[in-house]
Amino acid sequence: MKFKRFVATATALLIASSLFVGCGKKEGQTTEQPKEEKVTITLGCWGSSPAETQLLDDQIKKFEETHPNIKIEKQVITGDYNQAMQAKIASKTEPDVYYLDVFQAPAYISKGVIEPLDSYLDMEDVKDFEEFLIEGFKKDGKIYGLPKDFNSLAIFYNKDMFEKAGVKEPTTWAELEEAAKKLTKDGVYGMALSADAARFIPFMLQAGGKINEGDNVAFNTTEAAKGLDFYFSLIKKGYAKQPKDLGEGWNGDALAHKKVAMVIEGGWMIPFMKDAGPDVKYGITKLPKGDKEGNLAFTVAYAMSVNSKHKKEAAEVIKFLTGKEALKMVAESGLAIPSRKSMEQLYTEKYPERTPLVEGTKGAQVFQFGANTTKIMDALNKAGEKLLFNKVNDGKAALDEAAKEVGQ
Amino acid sequence: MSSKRGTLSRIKTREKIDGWLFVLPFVISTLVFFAGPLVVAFILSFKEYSFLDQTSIWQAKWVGFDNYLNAFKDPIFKKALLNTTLYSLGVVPIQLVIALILALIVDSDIKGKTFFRVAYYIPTVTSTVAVSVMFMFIFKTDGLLNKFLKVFGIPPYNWFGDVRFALPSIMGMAIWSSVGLYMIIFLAGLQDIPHSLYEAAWIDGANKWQQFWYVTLPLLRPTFFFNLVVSLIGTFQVFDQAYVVSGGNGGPLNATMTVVLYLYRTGFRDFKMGYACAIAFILFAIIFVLTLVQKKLFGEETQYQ
Repeated sequence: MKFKRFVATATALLIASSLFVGCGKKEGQTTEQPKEEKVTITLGCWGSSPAETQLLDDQIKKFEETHPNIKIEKQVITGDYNQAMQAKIASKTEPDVYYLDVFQAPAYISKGVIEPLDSYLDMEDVKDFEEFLIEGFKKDGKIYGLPKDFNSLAIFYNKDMFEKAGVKEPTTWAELEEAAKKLTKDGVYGMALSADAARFIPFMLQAGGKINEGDNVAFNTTEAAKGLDFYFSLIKKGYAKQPKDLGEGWNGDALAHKKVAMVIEGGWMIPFMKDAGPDVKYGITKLPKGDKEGNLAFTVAYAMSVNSKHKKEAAEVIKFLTGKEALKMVAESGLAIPSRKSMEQLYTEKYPERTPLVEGTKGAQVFQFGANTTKIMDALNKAGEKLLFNKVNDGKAALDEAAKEVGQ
Repeated sequence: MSSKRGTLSRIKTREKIDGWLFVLPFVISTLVFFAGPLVVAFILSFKEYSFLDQTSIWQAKWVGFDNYLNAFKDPIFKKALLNTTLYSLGVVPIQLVIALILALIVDSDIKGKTFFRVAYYIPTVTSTVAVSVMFMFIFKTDGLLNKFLKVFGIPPYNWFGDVRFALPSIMGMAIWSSVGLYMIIFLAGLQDIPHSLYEAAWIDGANKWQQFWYVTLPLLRPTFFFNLVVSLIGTFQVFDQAYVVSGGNGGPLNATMTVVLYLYRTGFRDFKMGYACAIAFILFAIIFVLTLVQKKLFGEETQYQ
């Protein structure tokens, strides 16, 4: 009897305790390290293509070679990065250093979870970074993140289709419309355009419009509406189609499958086209000019957690990963445009055909619109959909409604 | 006498302790992973809080019923609630009727019924995300559905991209993917009905239809109630399909915005976890009331034996 009871109790306890296996931290780890003071800095990032992973691994290896007292432990977060990071921050288990998308930066910075970097930085060196990129990670004059690289939008076009139709690279809105018109034939459309604010905002900027003024909405102007109307007129006139209406997942697919002659996308198209459309001969050209130049830049920075226990070392990691040596590796990989002016030339020299991507950043603004970034994006996306489904008369009406939505 | 009673009660106490020890793992996991979060979420629903706040949950600002009141002023929440209700009204009845018919078929003496049982059940054990992706292939502009409709001269259509058809398309998908689950439960209910009742009905001269109407249906009532409740709760909590089909934004024009999708977006994207918790409890209240109403209408236990 007694033995039976013992077995029962032991089993129950065993099952109960097994619930918590894995919850605890691995404590043995630090004691296994050599005796000298070696600090481990955790680095949070999202999973990306094998080429990008390789690049980061190489950068980390270089860092560890030159900084023997610091070890970088990479934490790849799969799934929804923003959601996972919030859960980590709430439980104070976030990495010391982590990727911060410029789109999310205002929320994270204003909540005070990011450490300002100013005291760790050499301000002369910071001048080497593209100013408009740094701007995206600034609040009240303080710098909260150093951009690692960026991408901006450009027109990717099918060279064969251009040749056949006798079309040259468009440089103005009128030329773009003309080209799209000529290229629309034999079941192929001139362009793939989607009701995505991240693609039509450049046109609003090119028309002289603005998206935000600090934390306030500034897009409900006739200028911004002009850009919006032009963008959607290309769809309404039948020169452009939504990728979904062509049965394609996104713009990239539409170009790779030769269903359209032009798409507006960024540098991520280059590795994509190599895989998905190796037989498509494509060229890259700057976005057309409206009344002025306008473009969006998508960038990611390394930011430091305020809760980091090794801030000095964490700053070393950030400075190295955005330093000249690391960004030279970015430039040579060609995966994105390095965020330092001194390295851009290296990029364009190695990949001359990608020069339009760099040139197109003149007049660009980062993909972020102040404290109401997500609200503004939601409202603008909806404004685009309303125009597409003819729920409003024109761009101005759509933008007025959008401005009201943000104000709520 | 007294010593005997003492031993007896001691054995009883021991049994009690053993019993608790055995259920302990479940009790602990329920407390830690279910009851605890539930209580915290309820408290949070009265606060202004985001996961990014450096202060703890307890220090977060108390806002009383503001989160609840705001929800009913929020046009997107109202739209989400309307969508979810329409979705539920569409999916639940159709799903249950089809499930019952399928259960009757696979319960009869047709050939290869094991095959059919498995075939109809497979979608249920398939991940909803995988099912959604598959349906996106079927419903896309040059997908299977449009190719099929083309045979009848109907021009291709972007089903998920249209305000009118996006939600019905998701409804069709949900019916297809979960009908097997309810079929299995109906099947169990059908096989629970004693054969003697059919025999008695047959002797009394009831035909097949009368047998179904006067024997099968009344006896299936508890099963039906169970299915109805589970199906309703499931449909009110729809998330995956809407998330995958709309790419997480509930588009086009909020046509596929469901309550849970909106909750997820407010909590994690707009950093309003307190508001998101309030929405969750509103949803809970709705489901709870609906379940009570159903219990009143269908739930009385009936014994025919």
